[in-house]
Amino acid sequence: MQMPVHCPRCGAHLPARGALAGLCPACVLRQGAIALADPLVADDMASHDPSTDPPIDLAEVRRDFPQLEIIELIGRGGMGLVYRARQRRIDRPVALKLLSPEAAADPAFAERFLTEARALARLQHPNVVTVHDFGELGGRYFLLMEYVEGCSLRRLLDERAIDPQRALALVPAICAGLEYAHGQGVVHRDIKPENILVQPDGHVVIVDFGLARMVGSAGDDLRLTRASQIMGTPQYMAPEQIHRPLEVDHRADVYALGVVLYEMLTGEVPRGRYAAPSERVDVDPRLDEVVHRSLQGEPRDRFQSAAEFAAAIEATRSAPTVPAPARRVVRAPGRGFRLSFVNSNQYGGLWNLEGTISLDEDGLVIDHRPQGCPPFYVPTTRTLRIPFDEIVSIELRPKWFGRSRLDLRVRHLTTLDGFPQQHPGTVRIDFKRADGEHAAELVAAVGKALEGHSG
Amino acid sequence: MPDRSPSPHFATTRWSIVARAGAGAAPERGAALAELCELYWYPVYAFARRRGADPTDAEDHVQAFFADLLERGDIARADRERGRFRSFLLAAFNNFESKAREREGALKRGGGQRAVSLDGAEAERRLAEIGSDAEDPERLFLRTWALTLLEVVVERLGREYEDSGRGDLFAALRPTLVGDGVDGGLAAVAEALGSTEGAVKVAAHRLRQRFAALLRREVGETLVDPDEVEDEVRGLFEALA
Repeated sequence: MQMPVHCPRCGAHLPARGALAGLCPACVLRQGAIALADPLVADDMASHDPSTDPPIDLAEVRRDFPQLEIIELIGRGGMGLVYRARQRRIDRPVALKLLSPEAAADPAFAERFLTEARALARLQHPNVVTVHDFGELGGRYFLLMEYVEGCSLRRLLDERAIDPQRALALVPAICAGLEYAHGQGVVHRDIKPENILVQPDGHVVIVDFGLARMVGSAGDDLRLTRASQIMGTPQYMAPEQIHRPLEVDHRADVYALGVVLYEMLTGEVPRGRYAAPSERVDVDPRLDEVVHRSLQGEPRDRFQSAAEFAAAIEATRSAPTVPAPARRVVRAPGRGFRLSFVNSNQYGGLWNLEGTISLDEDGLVIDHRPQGCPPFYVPTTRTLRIPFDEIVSIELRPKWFGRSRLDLRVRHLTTLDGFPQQHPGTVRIDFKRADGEHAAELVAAVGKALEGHSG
Repeated sequence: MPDRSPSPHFATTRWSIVARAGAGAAPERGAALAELCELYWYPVYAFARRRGADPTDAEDHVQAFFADLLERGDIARADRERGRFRSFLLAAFNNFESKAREREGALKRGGGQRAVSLDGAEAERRLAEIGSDAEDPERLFLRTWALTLLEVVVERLGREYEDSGRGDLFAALRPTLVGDGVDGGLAAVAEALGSTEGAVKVAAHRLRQRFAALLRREVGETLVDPDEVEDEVRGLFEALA
């Protein structure tokens, strides 16, 4: 069989020989960059996967915890091992979590553990797992928690047991638990389907609150990640958790929940330029905006609280679709359009830009951010303002298939901060045909405004 | 503030040993420079070829250049301030070429100087393969630099797996370096290795992590300031994209 000459992913030429034979260099480097931005990658070559730790001898655990009847090992993950157990004296089912000894090797760990565990033990909410006790025994840190009957959202997703309706029923309950914890000053930091337990009656309990912080040394230099190798799954992490760990607040949970919602709706986590949920499955298009909002790169652009997130979900569940109220601001073509700046140095044409375009009193406002770039390229949302007197023309080029296009010619195009390019240019906006009506509306509004300006 | 002190591994990158005055004894500097030159002669060769030299001339010039560089051993102060070995190398080669033109003829053709183990025929094969005709010399330099660095890293990765008796695993998982998904799926790999799909998935993930760690290290070796690794990777990526 002949080796392919071009990369099926990006079309680049594939080296025929050498260490890279048959591997696309750009894709290898991209993967490398992604892994590099992943806090789980330490520069220490002695990286260690805790899941390969031999399970602790059940007898040993029984000896260390005589007050408990240890029944079985029910979970093992980066954080450690979880046993189903029963408190003998009060005959109460409990879950015993033994944290990985890796984590305890960190000298700062004891202090962090105590602080976090105390905060967790104070949390009392139906949607948050209750921590009964915590401490250290035989060099191992443990948490004794309420035993939750049911299974993880991960398993339900794997079994394709989540339809959009169920997804929307779960989110407000998750939000309720998060909102409560956030109010108590506790950020989860590792919201993902594995940490959301669903009971047979549909009741939701969030587990592993703050554990990522406890064992993950969040806030430490990401290079010194011996401990944070056992932190959560990067796919669910808000960009600031990777890039600015010191600035992480409750809105990182909002982001992660956005990822979970997207996954519940579409079956996949959003990556790069993700398609809006309604493009992929038959759901209310208003959910697109909810997802989009929660997945904003900048925390300030997201829902500012879990409660706000829940309210947005509830709104899509209750109210029937109503036409957008006529306002001065035309939101078109809506989410998920692609921008390209012709005659511009912006991003060197490497990334796709996505964003929204709207109209205000002074002109067009284009909020855009790069999509599909490696994660170390902290994708910030930039706003391009084009005053009416800068607009030369705006032209709609509808298409029968593929994406339609808006061509916006401007007198001066300046798109890169600190690197102005002061000559005429064209902003090319590709949008989905479904947004054609909005686009037409926008063009009409601009035309009207331009008339007003020249008149 | 988190502790930003560089990890011990990065305290002395190869290029920092060469570039920082007083960072090491002269022999140590010479050895570090020689190692770097040995790894990265190919981009210089590609650059020389694209600038118009024929294969024989390019080979001679490049060998003479490295011989001169290694013989001098000492890097001029202005050059030392360069944070990146590749920027230094390109500037130094340009400099060498213009001086060589001044003292035209001084460069002995086929003088037998073998500063680096340059294989001209192999270099030509590689150049022909990547289709370099449309590129300007600097861009080609950067692209071949990125390719060379990646080769170094992948090769090292493979050797590491082989050294620990996991050569088969590496061979099977090598295609996953570009992302998940191999012909026949990971399940087929698992079957071939007598393992489970879950275990193979974990192994593939770990392979990429290891690759990233080696990439970080190797890129760091060519920089003075290891904090610039991500910037540099971005630059390499743009060169390949």
